[in-house]
Amino acid sequence: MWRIGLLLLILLFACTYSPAMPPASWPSPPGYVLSGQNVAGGFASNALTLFDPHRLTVLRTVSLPHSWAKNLAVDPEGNVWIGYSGNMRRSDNRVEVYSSQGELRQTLQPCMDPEAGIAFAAGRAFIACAEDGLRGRVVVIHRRTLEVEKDLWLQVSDAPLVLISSAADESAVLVVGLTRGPEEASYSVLNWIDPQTLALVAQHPLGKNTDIWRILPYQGRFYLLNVGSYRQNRAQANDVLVVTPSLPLEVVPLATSPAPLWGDIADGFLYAYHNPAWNSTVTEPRRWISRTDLQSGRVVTWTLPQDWDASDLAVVNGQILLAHWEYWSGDRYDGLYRFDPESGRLTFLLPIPDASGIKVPRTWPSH
Amino acid sequence: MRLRMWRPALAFLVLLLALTIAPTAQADGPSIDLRDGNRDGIPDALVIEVNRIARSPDKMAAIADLVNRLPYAPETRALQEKAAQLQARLAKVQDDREAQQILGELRVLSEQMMADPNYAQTIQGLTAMFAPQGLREGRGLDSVRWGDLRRGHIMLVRSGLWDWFMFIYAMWYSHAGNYDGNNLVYESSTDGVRLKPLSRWQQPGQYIGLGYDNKRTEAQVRSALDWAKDFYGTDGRTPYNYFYPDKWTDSRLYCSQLTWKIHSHLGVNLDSNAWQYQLWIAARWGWWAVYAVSLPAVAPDEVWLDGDVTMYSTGWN
Repeated sequence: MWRIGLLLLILLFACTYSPAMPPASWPSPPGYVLSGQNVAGGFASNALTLFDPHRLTVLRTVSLPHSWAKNLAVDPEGNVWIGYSGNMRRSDNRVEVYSSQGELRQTLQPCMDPEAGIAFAAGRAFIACAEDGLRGRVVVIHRRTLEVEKDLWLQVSDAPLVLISSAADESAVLVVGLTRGPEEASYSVLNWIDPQTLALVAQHPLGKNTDIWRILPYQGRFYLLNVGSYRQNRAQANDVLVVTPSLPLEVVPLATSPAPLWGDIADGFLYAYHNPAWNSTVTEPRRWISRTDLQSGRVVTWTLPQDWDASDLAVVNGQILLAHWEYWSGDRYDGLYRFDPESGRLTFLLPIPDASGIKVPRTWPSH
Repeated sequence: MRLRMWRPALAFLVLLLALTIAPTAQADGPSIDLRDGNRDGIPDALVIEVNRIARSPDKMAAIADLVNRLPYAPETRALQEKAAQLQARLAKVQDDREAQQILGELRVLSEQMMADPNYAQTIQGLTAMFAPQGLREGRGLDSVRWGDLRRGHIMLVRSGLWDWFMFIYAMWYSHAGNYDGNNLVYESSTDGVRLKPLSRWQQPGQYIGLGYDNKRTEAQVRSALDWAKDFYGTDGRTPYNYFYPDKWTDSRLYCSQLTWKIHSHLGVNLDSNAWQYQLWIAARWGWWAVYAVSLPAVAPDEVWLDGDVTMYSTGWN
């Protein structure tokens, strides 16, 4: 009898135990969800969740350090990079590099508060760190050796520079930070780094009411989503700043809908999630989603429930995916959502505690 | 170097003061009955005793009397003694790592003390009694009036119902900052005095208090903020001050010390030494903490309890 019992116990263990090593039949690449923003919860649910985009099932959950993880980046080799920036009272300097299947490859300590994005170009990773808030720092890492190639300090004269976001393609690395201005508004400065020579090519002030938390490279241009545009006169609004990295730097405003925060570009359409209250003294509960045809400039917007905060947006095959977490509801409503433009409804796809970032393969299966 | 010599001397003086001036640790009455007849989460007798302290002309003596009548386990009292020794050791530390280690040990002691049900009930009861008004009224959507935030305003935060990164001497708020305009906050964290984005303060589950100095004009406070940024920098060049009782030093700053410095520059002392905080810290850590922490240091809780500060918005994100 005891042998049967033991056998049953082993079978039960085999069925419930989450394997440390991933199975051989994983989709390639899997989708990734980062949980890393719940500061008030002590980052207790911090994790990298690997999921199967075909079956919408969780493949693996990798626990992450209990430190603010604001960004999730996937390099061209499929490695996942996550930077940490402490909590309300302390900083952090760690960047973890995981394999595409969630194995920790290396922990780097490049600079203080690597929270302004990790971008990839020319075989390198560009890690943007907030550092001390007076000036920022971009640490360039050789992706094969993971050795530091260069340290680039970014600053503006007689003003602070708090680095916020970054992105890259093979022609340019753009890093944007907040600075001071003459009026009570947000002011941003754009820094252009050459990914080949690693030199700072140009620095460009973006003007009043500019606050950029997401930069989207697309077909040789960079689309800077300006959440600060809510305070602008709509006639002169620059909801999106379209940057062409050329000399002189070309920055063209594009009016879409106010306060785009997170976004993605797919098939010639820019999709954005809008939140005017983000990093602002604006107390506007409305949230919405927009789709801008980059060819014609036509904009369509959809309204989300009031105060429904998304912490990331990704688009695959025309499907709009949103990461969402709440503090007060426990984990009940945390996870991955799909927004359906036809019905204007949100569909809860996958429960993941404290879901705050998404990276998915470009080819999303149809259902 | 001068400051390093000065710190042990200050610590010695503080402990001497605690031993000689402090009301003696003899209880005048029976131990406090911690039954909660009305089931409001606060022991009924504790409410009566706190009201008695509020009316007492000699609050220190009344607090000492109450603290000595709290029915803590002998082990808890022993842990409080150990905490006093650790705090004295903190005064002598030579580097940040050692200070962090001692603070870690103090945090462990505080968790161990919570194993005493009478202790836990007392601390939770006092915290509930002294929590900001907005908290007692319950959580409301968009209750923080971010739209009224002006440059120079005082910002306080508690991260979550249980603050996981708690400043060990925090009753309610664990961190302080100063709004610098342009969606940036001037604050001191463990990596020094620096600027950070406002969005860090606006994350869900954080309890926020916004206030202003009601003794000086906005223009005066703004100029003091400029002075502080010039004097202490915004680049982390002024490191974190782990020795909380030394709020006078300019070479190191903790979060509420920076706020206190800005307003002290205008002749406004935001260190309230409020009796509520002193009662709480005495119950939490032992009587020694009133003299070793509350009186010499300036905690975020002592700022919001100061009459020179008008808290115009408190609430959960």
